[in-house]
Amino acid sequence: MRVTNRMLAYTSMRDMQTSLQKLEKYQKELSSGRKINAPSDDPVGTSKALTYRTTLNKIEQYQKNISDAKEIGALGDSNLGDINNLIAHMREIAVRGASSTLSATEKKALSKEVEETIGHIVRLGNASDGNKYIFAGTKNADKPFSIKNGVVYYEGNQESIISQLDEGVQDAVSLPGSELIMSDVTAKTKVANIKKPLNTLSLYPPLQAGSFYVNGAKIDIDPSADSLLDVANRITHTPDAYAYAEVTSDNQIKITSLKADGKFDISAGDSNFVFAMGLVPHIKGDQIASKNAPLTLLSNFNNDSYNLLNGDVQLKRLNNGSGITIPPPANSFTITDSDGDSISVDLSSLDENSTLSDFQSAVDNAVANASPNFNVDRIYVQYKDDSIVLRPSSDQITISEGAGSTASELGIAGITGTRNVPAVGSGLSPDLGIPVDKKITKLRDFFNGGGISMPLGTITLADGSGNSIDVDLSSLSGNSTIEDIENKINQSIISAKNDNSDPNYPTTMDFSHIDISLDWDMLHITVPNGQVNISDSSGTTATDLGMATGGLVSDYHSNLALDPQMRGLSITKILDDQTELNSIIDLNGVHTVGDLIDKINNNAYTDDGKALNIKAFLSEDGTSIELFSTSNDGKILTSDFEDKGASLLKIDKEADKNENVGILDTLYRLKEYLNDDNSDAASKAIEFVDTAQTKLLDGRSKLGARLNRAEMIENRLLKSTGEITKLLSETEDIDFEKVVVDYSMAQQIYESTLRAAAKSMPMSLVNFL
Amino acid sequence: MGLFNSLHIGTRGLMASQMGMQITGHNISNANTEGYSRQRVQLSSSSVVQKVPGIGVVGTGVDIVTVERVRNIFLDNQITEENSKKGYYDTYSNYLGQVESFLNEPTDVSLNERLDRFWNGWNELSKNPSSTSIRTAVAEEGKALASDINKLYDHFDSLRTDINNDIKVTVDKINNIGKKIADLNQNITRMEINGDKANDYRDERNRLLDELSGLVNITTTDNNDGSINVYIPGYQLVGGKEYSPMKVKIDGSLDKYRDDLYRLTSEKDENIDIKPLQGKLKALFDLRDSELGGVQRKLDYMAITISDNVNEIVQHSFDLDGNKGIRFFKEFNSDSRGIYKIVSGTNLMDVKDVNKPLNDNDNFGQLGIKSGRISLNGKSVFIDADKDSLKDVVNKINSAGAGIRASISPLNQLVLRAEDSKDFKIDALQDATSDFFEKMNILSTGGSYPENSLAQGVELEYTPSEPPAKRLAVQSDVLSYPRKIAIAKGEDTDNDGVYDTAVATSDGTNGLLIANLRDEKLMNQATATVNDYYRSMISTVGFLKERNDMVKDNQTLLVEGLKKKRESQSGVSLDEEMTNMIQFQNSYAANAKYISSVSQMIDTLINRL
Repeated sequence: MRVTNRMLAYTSMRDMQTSLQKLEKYQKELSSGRKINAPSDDPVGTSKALTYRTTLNKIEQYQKNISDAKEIGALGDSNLGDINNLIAHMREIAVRGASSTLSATEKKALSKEVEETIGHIVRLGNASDGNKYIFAGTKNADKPFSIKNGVVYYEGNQESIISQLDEGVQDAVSLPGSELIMSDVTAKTKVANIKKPLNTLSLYPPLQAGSFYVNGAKIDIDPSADSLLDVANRITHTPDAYAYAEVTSDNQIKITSLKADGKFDISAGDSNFVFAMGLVPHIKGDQIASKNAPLTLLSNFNNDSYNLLNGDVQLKRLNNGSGITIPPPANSFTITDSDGDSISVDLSSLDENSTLSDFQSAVDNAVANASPNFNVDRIYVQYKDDSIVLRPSSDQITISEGAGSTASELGIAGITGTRNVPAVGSGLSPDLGIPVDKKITKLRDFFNGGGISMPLGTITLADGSGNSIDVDLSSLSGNSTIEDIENKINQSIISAKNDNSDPNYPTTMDFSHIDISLDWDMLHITVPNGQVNISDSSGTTATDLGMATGGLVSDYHSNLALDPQMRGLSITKILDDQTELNSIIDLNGVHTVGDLIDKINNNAYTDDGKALNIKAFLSEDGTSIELFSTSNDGKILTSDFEDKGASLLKIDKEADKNENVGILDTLYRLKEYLNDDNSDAASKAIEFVDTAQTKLLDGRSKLGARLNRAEMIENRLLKSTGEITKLLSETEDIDFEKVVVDYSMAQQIYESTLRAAAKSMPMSLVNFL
Repeated sequence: MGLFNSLHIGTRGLMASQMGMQITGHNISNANTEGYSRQRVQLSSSSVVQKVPGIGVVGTGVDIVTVERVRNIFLDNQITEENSKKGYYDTYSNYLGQVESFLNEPTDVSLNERLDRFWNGWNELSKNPSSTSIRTAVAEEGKALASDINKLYDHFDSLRTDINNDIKVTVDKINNIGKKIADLNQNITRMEINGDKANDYRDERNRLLDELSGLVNITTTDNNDGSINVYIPGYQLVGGKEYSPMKVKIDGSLDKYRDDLYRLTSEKDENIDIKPLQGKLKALFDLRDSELGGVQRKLDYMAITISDNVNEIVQHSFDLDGNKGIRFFKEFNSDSRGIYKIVSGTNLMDVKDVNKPLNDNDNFGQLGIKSGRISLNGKSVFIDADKDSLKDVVNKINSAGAGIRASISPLNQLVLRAEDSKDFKIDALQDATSDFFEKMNILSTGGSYPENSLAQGVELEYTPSEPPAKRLAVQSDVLSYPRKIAIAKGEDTDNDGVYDTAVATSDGTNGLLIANLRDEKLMNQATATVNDYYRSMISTVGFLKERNDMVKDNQTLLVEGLKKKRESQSGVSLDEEMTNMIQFQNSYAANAKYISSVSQMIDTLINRL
């Protein structure tokens, strides 16, 4: 190739340029310390560097958030700790206040101390981190707690401050004070839809339009238009109610009192909202009738199958009292196993007084005598509701009719069962009536409450040997029992034996005593030896009671069904911790469930004449009675009084207050108890203080857990910061040594280029001519 | 044959040497002239011959045939072609370098940092909503972010203006060169019609073609008279001695926001569009329109996304005085020619839980939405109202590729936004077999937009009529009264599905929502966060510049190689010329000596006889 001088010069120039460019690049890198000075230096690296930078910026913010959260958390924790100490002290005061050794004046002093503590807790609750009050939720620009006229009000809100602790990790960093120290009530009722009008939701009891009261403020409700949300909002936005209502994630309404004076109250007005929502203590009686048998008359309880089948039930009581056909002619049925072998259960020995236990024995017998081919070793007889259940120990059994229709009448014809899936018969609707006890059932309760005509007269007992004694029953009353009569008679027999003074009367009867028992609702009289003849002496008592034997008998069943009626139901209600209001509901004249409910709702008064604050309802399915306290602060206790009314109606239960009593309310109560020198109530306050302390500890541990989590995240972030910074540096920053070496190399190359150019450029023939 | 004749031979020899010397001198003096090709004197033995009887033919000395250029036409064509490409990449790289320097990434003072600080500011405020100083800081961060985006946009705008001017200057230059070539054509033709070689004119013309090829890609054809035609694809710039100048004309349709951009056309006929395919001119058009225009549109997309999403949250929040939030960023001017955003006319009463099926009791429940297809901008989406939650529907819409991004407002409304690919305009919505849009209160009965009107209750934002990135600004009210920054969560106290009051004026919950917008995939059909989007914009510029630089370097090497080759053939080598000089000098001396000898011979003959 031909080379010209210009080429030489140009090449040198280019080389110099290239070297200089390199030098410039290294110089730029060295002076900035970075290898990416423009995106084009390393587009991938630039993109990475931007990501790292953004991540670091984010983490920086998260770290700030965490440190703030920790600050608030630590401050909150320490204040809660202080409050906890105060409460521990309050517990001591409650314990001292409960003791009777303190004088009223000393207790008043303690009461004063409690009051001061309330002020102290309020001050602690108003803690601020300099920017905001930390127990005020997000309404934290002003102090959340204030005392007006001796009552504490919470004016913060229920929102927690949420902080971003990490990407995708948000956590509440504060606890609203209301959550910690105020009282709240959560409804027991969950509604299906919180946005639909309440009466479209088939709530029970069906809601009535009207109003109810929160902290004494009237809240109107129109269930055909208002949804649960509407009601919650209305409560929150009724200023006088001093309450915040929300709907929980379980679709329950939760009402928090924002006022503490120990008297947080949600009570029913003319709407039954608080009952339907289960905002008040409530007991629901157990089922006392089958679902399909509506309670109309109380006496229906007797005739209805509210009692379940068991081994003691007599066969004659089955099928609504019509019993089953007892032999002759029917006397057996057949049980067949899975491969066709069968046994016959012989019932011919049973009579109408036989019980289901006897029936079971018959089955056992038949199995025991079965041929070896029969696969089943044992058949258990059980009862489910009002049906007979047959469960083979193994294999499978099928029941079929033998002679007569006994299997059908027992409701077990054609059923099949195994050990796991037993054979369940159809319902037998036993007519069990009221259990009658000679020791309990009172004379006045017989004949459906008609009683026996009083006073009782004298009856005559005569034996087969011509001996007779008169027994005077006039000292007995309507409250006496059959046992009392039996005792009177037997006492007379014994005293006649010991007293021979009257020659007209033989000293000794043929029998030492007679037995009177109640066979269901009839008297059953037996004598151990000989015979007896019972008749009226004066009055008609023997006839009235069906004891007149009409001749000598050794074993007598009365013809007269005594039909005892229950009576005497007592319901006790405690209005608050200090006062118990008892009310006895007399069931005299109460014939229907409606009567009972009306009586409880309208005419029940306590011993001291106050209206009973309890409302009764028939349960939704019509099978049980429900009782509601009319206030969240109340308590219901029902128990038998004199008789078994409550237990028979299956409402002998207890329901305590529904409220989650806050710390401040607790202290207010304690204060009042001490002030009123009410030792009993003060001892109750210990329990409240314990609950309050638990609540506080819950809050503290919640806060602690969050702090822990924040700290864990903080550590992780610190680690990632290090890693990402390293990555960023690797991406963006130069390796100094390398660049310095490269730089000096480029320098040398540049020098050589210059030198070469200097040598080659002047070279030309011109110089040599 | 005579002595005088011999004298003639000597004279011719002298003349040839002299000519050789002159050309050598011309070569030497033009050794550094750009485009100059070395010349050579072509000598041949004289064609005039003398017959010497009995001997034969005797020569009569030397003849100067011609002075020719040493030049390879094939190389010239190659260089013209490659030089166009080089011109393209040179220009592209140069301007991209400026773009990079505006972006200033990755550094601590870039837009990326600005964005991070903006989001962090909201987060900080969410913790201390009552702090006036943090409120001021947030407003100022917003202002700084807006002004950074404005500045960046303006930089690009002025860069585009520069480029636009450069286009005009370049076109002038091309015209100028065209005119010169036409002139040279005329000179060459005139000169060469006599059979002379117009070497230097040709050299000059070649140099101009080189220069021209860097500006725009050209092809040339030779005419028989030594002139050439020069074509820019689809356009004849020079035809022999005639030239048709190009011209730039302002065309408002080139950019929707600018009316000062040039279109390339001809002076004779303004209706033709000239489209350069290579060279600086092409690079300028590309940069001005697709490259920088593209980056500006990306900034617009970012600006409108940030502004709209932040505004959406603050407008559903409450300020420190408990008032309903005002926009944080100013509303963009619009000429209401397009709809950018549609917010369904529903509220919290219609959709309570965005994660539960549409027809769930908490949502439309008994009212029921019909399952079936809807279509957005012609893209079909199937909705199963018994299974799909509103969130599912949003995801379905976002993956439909309709250029519409769906999201859910704080009131559980469905929000549809047109993306940059649709020029921020929602074209068409339709309930095909479903009645989703109707039930969501977006379409009125009739079921399609724009055929039928939208539902009464919808809220609309119109497509901005000015570039959002240029106009992004924080509300002046917010700047003067930072209390008006609204981040307090709302509460629906009267249960009408709309927030009517703040849960607390000191609440900061929604500040966190804004801060967390940084992690929300707000862009590109819900596939990229704002930061992602920006980052990819930066790295795209980086990649482009990197690739361009590489191609540019290659192209430079290629052109240099070709030029070297040409230099190797046509360049002046001083050594060579020196050698020639000595050669001609000696030959001159020899000829002179010969003449003197002949002269002596004549003297002998005349005087000594």
